[in-house]
Amino acid sequence: MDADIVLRLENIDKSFSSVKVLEGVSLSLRRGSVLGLVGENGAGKSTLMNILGGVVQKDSGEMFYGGKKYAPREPMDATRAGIAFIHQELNLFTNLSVMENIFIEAFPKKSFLRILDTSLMKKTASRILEQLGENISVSSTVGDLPMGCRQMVEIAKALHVDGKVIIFDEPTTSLSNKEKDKLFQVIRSLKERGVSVIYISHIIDDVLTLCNQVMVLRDGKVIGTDAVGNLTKEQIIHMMVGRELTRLFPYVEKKPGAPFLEVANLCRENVLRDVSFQLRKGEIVGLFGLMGAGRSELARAVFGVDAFDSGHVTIGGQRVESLSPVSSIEKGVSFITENRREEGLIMSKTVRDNLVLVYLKRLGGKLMSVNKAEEERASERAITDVKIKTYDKNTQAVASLSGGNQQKVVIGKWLLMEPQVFILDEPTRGVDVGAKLEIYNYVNALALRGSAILFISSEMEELMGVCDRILVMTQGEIAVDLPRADFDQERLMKYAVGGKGCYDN
Amino acid sequence: MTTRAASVHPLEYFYRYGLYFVFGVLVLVFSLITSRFYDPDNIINILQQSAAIGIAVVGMVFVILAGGIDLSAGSTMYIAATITAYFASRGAGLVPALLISLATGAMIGALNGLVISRWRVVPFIATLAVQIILRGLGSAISGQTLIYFTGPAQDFLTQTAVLGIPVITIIFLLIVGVGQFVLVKTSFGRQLFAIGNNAAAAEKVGINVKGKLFTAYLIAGAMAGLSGLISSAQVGAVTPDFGRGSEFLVISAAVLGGVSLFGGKGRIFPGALIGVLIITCIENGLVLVGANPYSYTVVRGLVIFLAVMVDCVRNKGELR
Repeated sequence: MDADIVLRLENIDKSFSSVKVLEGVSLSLRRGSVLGLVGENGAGKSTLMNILGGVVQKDSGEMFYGGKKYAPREPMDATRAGIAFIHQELNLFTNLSVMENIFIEAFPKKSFLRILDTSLMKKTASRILEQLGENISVSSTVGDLPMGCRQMVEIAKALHVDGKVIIFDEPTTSLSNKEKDKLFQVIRSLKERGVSVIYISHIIDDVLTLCNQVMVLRDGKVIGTDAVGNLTKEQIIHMMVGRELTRLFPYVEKKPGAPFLEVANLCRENVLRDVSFQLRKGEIVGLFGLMGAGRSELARAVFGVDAFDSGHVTIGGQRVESLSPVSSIEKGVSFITENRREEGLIMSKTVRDNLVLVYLKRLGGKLMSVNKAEEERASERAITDVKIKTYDKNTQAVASLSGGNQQKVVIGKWLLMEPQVFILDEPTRGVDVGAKLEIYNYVNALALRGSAILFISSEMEELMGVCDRILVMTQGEIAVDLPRADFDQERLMKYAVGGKGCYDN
Repeated sequence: MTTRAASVHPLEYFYRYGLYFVFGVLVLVFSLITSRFYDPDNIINILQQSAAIGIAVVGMVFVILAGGIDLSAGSTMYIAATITAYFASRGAGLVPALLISLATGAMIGALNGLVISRWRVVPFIATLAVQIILRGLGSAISGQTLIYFTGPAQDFLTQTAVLGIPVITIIFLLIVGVGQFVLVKTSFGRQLFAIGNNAAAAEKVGINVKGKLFTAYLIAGAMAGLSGLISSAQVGAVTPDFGRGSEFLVISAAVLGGVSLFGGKGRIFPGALIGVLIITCIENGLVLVGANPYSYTVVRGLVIFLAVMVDCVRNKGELR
């Protein structure tokens, strides 16, 4: 065995309730090298890293770290072993100083009264930060520092516990360009010091400039691992998506009518950049983008959940002055959020209660009471319409339904409102193949009845299967609006990764 | 970091120095209205009153910093005072009295800590329930009657002074010093700040969050117990209403002194100490100027309201 290999994973398998998330994944990480890990959303990157970090346990396979078997049971095991994670959201205490953050797990103490040894902390922290080429004052409060500096503090923390492997998960999303250059410099210097890095990112150009090797994951399998020099950006994108449309996506020819929902120049600082688009009646429009591109944020802004800085929304020819979920629902807009457990359902309530939740206003009986007979009819109608499998809608809690049936309850709830505009955010996530097909069918049926539909998904093939047009979002703006004739996986991915100007050169 | 200094919001100056300003104005106004306010006897009086509530405030700061709250403080004071007064009046000396009050409070604090850290009951509800239970229990012990607090312990606590400073004020200042030391200079203190800032992250970096929370509640309970002993010794009796609502005075003194109800922010010295002085000066001043007794609760309510409002405005939308 090569003594230079710090970390080796062999044939890692992992399933979540019969869904295979990782299948026979192997990886080896050399001392002082940077391995880029790329893959679509849901390819299994996070699960793999969670296994490495002891957050979840693998089903089978072996891990070796420093030549010895490595099996973390909890995150602290990974930290103690010297494997550090730097996530998008940092694990820092904003009310404490830089040096306190670096030493938080185990403060150095003086023998007298076990007082904190501030001078030792100061000295060590300054030395580590100096090595990183960072001159922040170690006694400044972390909450006062810009994001780039905070990340350096997190890196310093990892080095202080003698981190041999540092995993960066999308580290550049909240950084300015200057901070990003700085981060790359630091990662290169870490490399020279013999620290190994796993670098996860959607930004292929960054991966190509920074990494020694690239590993591509797709559908839980390793598609390929190669030295950066042997790969081009196009090849990596091809590896990320390259599969045939194997599953069935029912596409229906429609005759789109007049524009019904129009969004003009929507802006929100750091989130949405001048977004304009329209939805026509009887049209299914897909919204594709990578994690953090701003898709859900856009949907939330259009529905009136989140505020925006400028721009406006027109529904049915009328400009909406004060946008709120209530006014949107009144105007016939429905919204299925991506967090069905937190935002879409009341998990502890029954199927019936959930189904009539939005419809309640129309169930008015005498003296502000709820018309029970009508409630019964409405919920029964929804159950037959979307084929919800429940043994008793009046007593079964939604929490005990399968993922697919839960999603059907959400859809059924909105169908009662006969929506003119239907915004679906990741409606098929965590739903089995059969239920997925049913969901596509409802969406098609709605469009045929003349509703305008915005279908948000990370699954490219599903969008290509059911949509008439696809909007691709990158970094808060719409990079392209592709008609069905131009659908092409690599093209979509290229826009999603590279943005508007990706075909410029 | 010149850019940082330049970006200090004008309001930030108010947050930083407003406390001293308010305290100064308060002293000035009361002094202008009545000369009895700055009479040396009254100043001693204010210091004694501050000591009684201030000791409980020190304990409360530990809990609030960790992101919790202890609504049982007033009832803890009541029951600790009742039990201590019973024994003290039957001849228990100073040291036993101190120990009894501390132990009673610590036991209640341990109960709070256990329920909150182990069984994850929301602190607000857990300590509210304990507050109500203890109030009933205390009434049962005392039979809803006045219990006199006499004996050697009471004599010592009320009649001793060192260089003109009452002994309870000295005890209070000692506790302020120790509390400040623990929060600023020890690992336990710094980790409490971390927990108050982000409990989930604290757990991830391997801090024993449950244990530290438990200890914080234990300290708060013990301090409330001691505070009960000292304020009942001052009065010389424990009335059935003793300590009722005191938790709000205690909490508002802490919050007024800049200890954030959101957790992770604040100091015992000088912050909470000034908060205590402001609260006692207001109470004392209102009596001296002969204000309508019913106005006391109105003013108390206003103070709590203002303190919490400033806390909310100051810490709203803060990047964590």
